[in-house]
Order: sequence, then structure tokens, then C-alpha cells
Amino acid sequence: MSIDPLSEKYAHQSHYNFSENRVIDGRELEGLEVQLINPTKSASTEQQKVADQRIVNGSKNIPNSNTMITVTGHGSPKGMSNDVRGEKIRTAKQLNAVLNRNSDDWKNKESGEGMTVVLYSCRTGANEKKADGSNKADSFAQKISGSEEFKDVEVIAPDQRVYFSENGPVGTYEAEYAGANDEYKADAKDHSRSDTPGNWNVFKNGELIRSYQGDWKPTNNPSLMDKLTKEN
Amino acid sequence: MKSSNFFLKSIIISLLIIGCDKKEKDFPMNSTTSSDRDYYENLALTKGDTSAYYNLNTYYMDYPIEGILYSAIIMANKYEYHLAYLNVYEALTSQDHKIGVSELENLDKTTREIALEYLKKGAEKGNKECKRILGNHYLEGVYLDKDVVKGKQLLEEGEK
Repeated sequence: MSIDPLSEKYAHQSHYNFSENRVIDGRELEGLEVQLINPTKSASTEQQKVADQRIVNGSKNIPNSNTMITVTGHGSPKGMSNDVRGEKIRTAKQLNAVLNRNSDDWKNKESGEGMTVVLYSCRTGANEKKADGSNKADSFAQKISGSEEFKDVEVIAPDQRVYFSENGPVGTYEAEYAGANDEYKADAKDHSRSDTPGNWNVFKNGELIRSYQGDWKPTNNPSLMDKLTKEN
Repeated sequence: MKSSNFFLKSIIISLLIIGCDKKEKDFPMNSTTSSDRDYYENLALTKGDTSAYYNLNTYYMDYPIEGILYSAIIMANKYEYHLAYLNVYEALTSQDHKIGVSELENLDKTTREIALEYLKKGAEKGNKECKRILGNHYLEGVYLDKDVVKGKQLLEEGEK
């Protein structure tokens, strides 16, 4: 049982218990990584705890630099999930607040130019679709990149699911069990990836400026080889 | 010749096995399956477990949100969990609508009132996303009486 009996009295706090009840927003691993997945929720099935823990472990191996911040969390075309606070992130201001709380490099930047934010978060770089498959709204990543808070920042996000191994992110791929509108089929027993890569979309000031094949390792400084072999 | 064929086939089969094994070890970020969903739903609705309900909410990031409506109504009315109020609002306003048009536009009056009632309760319970959406409705003044002060305050609290 994981209910915190005081949670409604202390609505400003998380509903999950952490060590010594210290409430945090994300887990800052190396100063530049924001981890929004909580693999220790008491109600989670063993299968999900194992999966979440592997993602957390794998995210420690994501390469970064002092101008590239990575955010790992559950996502959809509409936004991200902050497992640690039990909240949703749907706007640029909400994500900006998370980054300000967790990254001194972000908080102290003088401008967005030269700064990159990578969202390891499923389909945050894909447009929302209507039931007939037509576009309903721009992706979360595109929306935030057009905001004042992310002015001149390059936002990199996947248009398919992000897969992880213990060694780190494998890339963004279509799910074996995805239906016509990219949603998992309702009876899917697992979410194994297919061999079809998605795309890492790069947005700046509200525009899609580049796109890379799903097995690319997102970086703010793509090599010549990346450009020759992975850029679409 | 026969032995070389056998050798070649063995290599191909081994590569296939290794390839399959590798894919099975890859975990998607959104890993919740339908059996996990049933487990979380049961735990949430019978015990009011907010952690289980949160996982259920995460599951519906990859499925049509209206699927959570039944659980969300129970979790809101019976256990007054802030996220459930938001999910009721999201489910009731999830129909396709034109870009740039409010999600409340195409709803009938009664459903719209129910959606707004849950949104207000979610905001009262401290859900930030409810506050943000509600704040915008007060600022726009289309479906609620315009109240700029209240709207700005809610918006600020919702985007902290």
C-alpha cells in the first residue's frame, strides 16, 4: 500500500515516499541530466520496476556536454510526465521550471543560443494526430521550442518510442505492437521494438530544422559521419 | 559441401537468436502493458492507491485518454485524488476539434459543465495542470465569467 495518509493535507508534496521523505523534483545525475522517472513506486509491478530501473541505469550512460541538457521521462505528443512529483508537463513554462530547479547550467545561461535540450521521452517530437490520422496539433517539442523560455535553444525529441538497454538509449523505433495512429494495440502483451527506426527531430524557434535516423545518438555537435549517414 | 552448408546455417541461426535476444532486452520508456494496467486499476479502485493510479495514468499516455474515464471518476469521487479530476476533464474533452479551437467548444452544455466542475475541483486539490487550464479559461472568459486576477494567479501557480 503506497498511499501517504497525509498527502491531501500536504498537497504541495509528492504522493510518493522517498528517503527521509525528502521531496525532490528530478534526479540530477551528472549536473546536466534530469531524471523524471521514479523506479521505486511501491505500487509498480515487478516488471515495471525492472524496466524503469534499467532506464534510470541506462540514462547514466547518455553522453552530454555543458551545453546539452538531457531530460528522461515518460512522454507522448502532448507532453511529459514527472513521475517524481506526480505531475504532468504540458507547457514550456512547466518544463522551464523543472530545468531551473535541476540544472544550474540552464538556470544561469545568458541566452538560449548554443544550448541544446534532448528529450528522451516517447513521441514528444511527433505531432498529435486525429482519429483519421491527420494532424491535430504540433508536437510538444515543437511547441516549447517556439516559446520565449526556449528561444534559440535546439530541442531534440523522438517521433517514436525511445528504447533503453542497461548500456544506455538504443534509439527511437516504431513499436512492434503499434497501431495505425502510433498507439499501442490494446491487447499488446509487451512493447517490443520493431526494426523500423523513427526520427530524432531537431526544433529551433518553433521550426523543424533537422532530422536524424532513430539510431543516431543525439548530440549538440553532430560529426561529419553523423551528417553523412544519419541526417535525413 | 554438406558440412559447409551446415556451418553457414548454424551461423545464420545463431545471429538470428542473438538479434532477437538483443531486442527483448531493450525496454521502451513507456513500458506499462495491459496486464499492468489491470493490476493498477484494481489496486487504485479498491484501495485508493494513488501510486497505482499514477501508473494507470502513465499507461494512458499511449492510449486514447477516454479509456481512463471510469477509473478517473471513481478515483476522483471516492478518493478525491487530484490527478483523477484532471483525467476526467481530459477524457471528456478528448474529441477531435479544429486547431486553435477550445477543447470545450464542441461539447454539449451539460458535459461542458461537468468537465469544468471536475477541472475546478482538481485545481482546488492542488493539481497544477488543472490550475493552468482553469486559469486560461478565466482569462479567456468564454466558458467562465472573465476574471483576470484569478486567471493570472491560477496560471502562475500551475506553471511553477
